[in-house]
Amino acid sequence: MASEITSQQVEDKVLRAQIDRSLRHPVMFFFTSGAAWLAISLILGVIASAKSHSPGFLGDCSLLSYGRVFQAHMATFIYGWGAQAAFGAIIWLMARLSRQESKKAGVILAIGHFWNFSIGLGTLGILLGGGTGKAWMYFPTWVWPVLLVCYFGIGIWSVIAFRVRRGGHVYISQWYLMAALFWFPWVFLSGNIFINTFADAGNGVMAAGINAWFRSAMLFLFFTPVAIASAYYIAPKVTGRPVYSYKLALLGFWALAVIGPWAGMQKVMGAPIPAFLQFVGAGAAILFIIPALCVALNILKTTAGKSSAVAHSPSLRFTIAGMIGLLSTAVIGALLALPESLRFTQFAFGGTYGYEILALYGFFSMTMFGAIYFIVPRVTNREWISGGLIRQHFWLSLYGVVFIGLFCCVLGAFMHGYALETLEVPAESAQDRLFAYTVGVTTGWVFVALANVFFCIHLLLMWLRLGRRSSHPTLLEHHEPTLPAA
Amino acid sequence: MEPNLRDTPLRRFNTFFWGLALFLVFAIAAVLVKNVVATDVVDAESEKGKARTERFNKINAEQLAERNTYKDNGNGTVQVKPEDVFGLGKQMGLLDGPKASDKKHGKQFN
Repeated sequence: MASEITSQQVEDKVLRAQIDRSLRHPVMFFFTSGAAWLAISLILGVIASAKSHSPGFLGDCSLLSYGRVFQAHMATFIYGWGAQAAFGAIIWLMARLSRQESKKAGVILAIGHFWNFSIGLGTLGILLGGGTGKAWMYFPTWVWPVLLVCYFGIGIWSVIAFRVRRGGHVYISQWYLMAALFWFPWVFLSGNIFINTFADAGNGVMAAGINAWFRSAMLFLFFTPVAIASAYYIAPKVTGRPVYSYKLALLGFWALAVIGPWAGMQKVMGAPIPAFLQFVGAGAAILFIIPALCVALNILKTTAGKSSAVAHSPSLRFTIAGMIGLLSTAVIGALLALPESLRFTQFAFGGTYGYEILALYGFFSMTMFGAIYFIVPRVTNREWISGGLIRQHFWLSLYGVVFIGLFCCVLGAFMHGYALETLEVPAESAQDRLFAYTVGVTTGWVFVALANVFFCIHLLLMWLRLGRRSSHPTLLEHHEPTLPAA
Repeated sequence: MEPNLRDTPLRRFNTFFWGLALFLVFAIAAVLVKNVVATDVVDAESEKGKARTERFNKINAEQLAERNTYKDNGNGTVQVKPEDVFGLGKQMGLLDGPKASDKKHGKQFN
């Protein structure tokens, strides 16, 4: 009996190794190129932010004017880093959970190159003045159909892996992954068709409303489920415990599926579009707290009592930070959706930006970093080179995103909006109030950018298989000095 | 390891084309929403534009009629069509642009 179990375990281990080996290059390609785009995006973010308080900075170069740099910063963040980190996580998690090695790794890798080529050309197009200026759709309009075709070529193999999975059980992570794979084409195709193909021909006002929905839907229906799927995989794996409550997990999933698609249009509160859309959007943004609470509580309860694992495991530490980020995103999103808040933040500097950075970096990226620190040693068969680099990546990211997202952008937006609304004082005083916050955003981005440049190099070295050859994972341990025996 | 009975070429093939069909369904649904559902929507801008265009055409026609009318103003002047005046002015060289003078001047420039 004992030898039978052992042979099954060996077979299992061999299968996992085969899956990891089959996906090594596409997964590492997506993670590494995503990290490179993240570093580029953050450098562009530093430049854009610097221009908001020092307009003369690089002022003689039209390529680097504020409007272009800011668009390039957000576009590379979302489609260069965000989407590619999600692709890497999706294909690996789905293959592992479905117990299917990839038979199309070469195709995925080739299409991944097309994706990056399109992002590169699109970014160049933005810097040359060809950007659309529409939030989260900044690339020149020829880019989105190419990205959609590439997405199909990357995502379909994970859907097939799910359909031909071994065993009948469907894990909660697979629910979220399948939902993200299904929702992305719906949101991306509908949003782009209605805004870039139809709406500009006649109804620009509704296009602004659809654009607000598109941003929210991309966040809630693509980035959020991928990050949650990763958290539901990593927390039980690292702690060695099952998910705390499967019922709560399913409640969270269906709450997201029902609430998520309605949010977004509160951002255009007061615009001449049907008022119910704006208030339904505000209601959904507030109700997003329900799925966020279900997920975050479930993950935190799964890891409860395992504080040493949270402290020592890079994957778990980043994942838990991501769950705190999810809760913060939900609470700040609800706060910003209130009509009383929109009065101050709707036209102020940084309200929406701060929220999006909090969601994209504080929640999604932190969870993806957790996934990357978990997946990369398995697909490369090497351990991370430096615990110190991981530690500085974590702390600089955490302090940076809290400082930028919460303090500078959200609080700064209220201060700026309040000053704009106070008509008794001159308009200059609003700019004066804002100055310190914009300088703060630049400072925060400098530290986050630095951390991610080193992260990108670390990742590249891992792909080159220069990681440690060890059977012990790289942990974030603090070795206490041992005193000599008395 | 037990064989995986789910993993058949037909199932893989089906899934691929169902996935492709899903993309097409989203695109077709968007076109239908645009062209079928949205046909009875009244565009407020176009509706208001109709009245503005009507007013513009009416004023334009009245101004044109007024402009092309000959009449005695009763104060020793007459109203004529602008073309008549400008045609005569052109014949007399009144509408020519400024030209450089062929006469020498005695000014000194530094």
